[in-house]
Amino acid sequence: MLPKSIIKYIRDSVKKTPLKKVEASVLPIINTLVSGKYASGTGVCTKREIKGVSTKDSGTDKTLISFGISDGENVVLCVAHNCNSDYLAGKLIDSKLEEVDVLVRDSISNGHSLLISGCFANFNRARIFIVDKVEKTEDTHKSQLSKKQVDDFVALCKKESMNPIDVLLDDDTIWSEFYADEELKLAILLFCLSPFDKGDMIHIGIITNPGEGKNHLVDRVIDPFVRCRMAGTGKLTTFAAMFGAMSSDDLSSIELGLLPKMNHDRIVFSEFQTLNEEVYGELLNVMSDGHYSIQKGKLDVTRHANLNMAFFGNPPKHYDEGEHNKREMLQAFGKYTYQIISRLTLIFAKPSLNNDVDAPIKIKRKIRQSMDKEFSTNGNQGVLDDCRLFLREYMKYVSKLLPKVGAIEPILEAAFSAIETTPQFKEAFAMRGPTDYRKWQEFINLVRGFARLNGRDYVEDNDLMAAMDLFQKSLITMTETFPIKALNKGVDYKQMELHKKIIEKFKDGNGHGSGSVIEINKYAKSLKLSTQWNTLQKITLEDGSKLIETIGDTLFIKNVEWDTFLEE
Amino acid sequence: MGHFLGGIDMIQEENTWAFLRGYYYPKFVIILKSLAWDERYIWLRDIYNDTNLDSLWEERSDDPIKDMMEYLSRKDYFHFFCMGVTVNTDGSYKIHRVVSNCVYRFLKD
Repeated sequence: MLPKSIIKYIRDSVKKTPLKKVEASVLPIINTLVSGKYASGTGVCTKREIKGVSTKDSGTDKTLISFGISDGENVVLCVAHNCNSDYLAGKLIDSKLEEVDVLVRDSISNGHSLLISGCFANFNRARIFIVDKVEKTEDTHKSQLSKKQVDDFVALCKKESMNPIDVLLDDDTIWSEFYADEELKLAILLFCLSPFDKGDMIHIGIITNPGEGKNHLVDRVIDPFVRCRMAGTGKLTTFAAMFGAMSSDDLSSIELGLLPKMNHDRIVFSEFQTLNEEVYGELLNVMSDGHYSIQKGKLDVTRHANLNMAFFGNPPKHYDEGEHNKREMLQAFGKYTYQIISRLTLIFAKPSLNNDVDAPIKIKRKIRQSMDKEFSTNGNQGVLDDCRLFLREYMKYVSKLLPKVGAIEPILEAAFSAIETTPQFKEAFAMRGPTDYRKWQEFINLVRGFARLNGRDYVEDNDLMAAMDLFQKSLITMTETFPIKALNKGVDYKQMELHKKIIEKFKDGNGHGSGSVIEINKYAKSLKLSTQWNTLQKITLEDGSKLIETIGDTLFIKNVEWDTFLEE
Repeated sequence: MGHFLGGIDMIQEENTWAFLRGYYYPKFVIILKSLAWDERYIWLRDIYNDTNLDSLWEERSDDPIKDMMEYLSRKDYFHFFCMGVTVNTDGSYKIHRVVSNCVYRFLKD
């Protein structure tokens, strides 16, 4: 329960500033489609096409630039030109048109938001938005709160013996419609910070049983709080939709996909286990570098996508909590499992999102309250809306802080070394060198994340302690969930699954398997896993013996823990 | 000035001790107290032996666990904690595997 003084401060700030929900949107433009009234909207440029025009009406040697502006959900087809008004209204002078073109190109390549103004008109039997003015805008990521307002809020929290994180975690604010453990809440809050540099990105993975409310978490907590898009499942999340594709009208232009449109924001991949492996493969670069390159014909372009990604999914269909090792939960990442988890700052793979023994009662209460619309009646909606609005702007403000960690460097390094030397860390990240630099960077980022959430541009011991707890809890999940060594050596889940099936079908009564070469070959072929079968036969165990021994026409298949495998 | 008096290094060391006391020590105590005495004895003995290589823990009687209980009642857990951490003058530190195990168990449970 938040102190009344904090709720009053939040509500007063919303009213007096006044705060309003600002986010990239082209809807105000779309709403004037019929009326053709002058309108403005914000979005990222997704494509650009140039046409040369020389007619009697347009004048000679004129230029028409068509481009698309998208807020991630809707697209507006725009035109800027220097043709005479007999041809098309809204003529721009040459220098102005060149300025527009520079901004459009910059938006495509760097993902900057543009504020465009103009009005709809008919042109060649199409309804297009004739652009009058284009400006680069940071409005969507710039907080409406002043430094003083944030400082006052932090000071008020301190006066109430709280931290801003406590307010962000409170069940009366953004979590009023969802019940979750504190570790999950913290991970989500860190995910809700906006990354402006590749070092700021925080990717998280949450794998739980179906019905745990992962989509509800997005609908009721993340989406109303910060700008976030949810990627579709499987076939709906194509490579072109995520990264971009060549325009069919103009082979020299590339339309932007969802990733660059969400630059500095976040994407949730729900039911990620249905995603295509090729999409995962390409995501790897974006997850670590914050950009990607597309080569098409003569084009070689780089697109920026500094964004936080969350992977929400379920264990595989065959997973049975009673029977299976938790490690089987994450088959869904396929052959890229090892690479993806290396890039996930935090991962929680557990059947339930809540460890609290009273969780079922609390969850049921939240569901009932939500269905009774308790949050939107009796004046509660106003409080909730104000809290979301204020904290949304607070998150925008603190996302831009740059907390320096230099002051605690010796402790920070020693703390990371202490984690690095644990068997769990070594197993999870199969350290090849003296240190894992990616994890080091992710660890620092977590520490900075906690400082940001607390509204500070410097780090304190408490930030380090909170980061250590969360980082290690995630580490424990990982080492208990993944067959790390096997994955690191390239033994994938399909090979593990085949091995298990063969042992089950050809069991020899001693826990291992044996059968004729012909029969087992035939069985593997019937499962369409011949390639995996060939690989399995090459695997050598850590003691130097073979996983599969051949004596005459008989194969002997050992049943061993996957962690002890080495590939030849 | 600070370096001349050894002040900065002292501050670094003190900061580190404050951090260790704030982060590791509570977990260390909670987990050790949760262990059955036969296991607790082994963990405490390991810390003691790894710190006092020249005078290893002597099992002075037929009941070494009772010996440990008596020693612990006189010295308290913080005494063992201090044996389990090494703080350098630059503020860096190292922790004994028992301390690390305590953190792991604390967070796991």
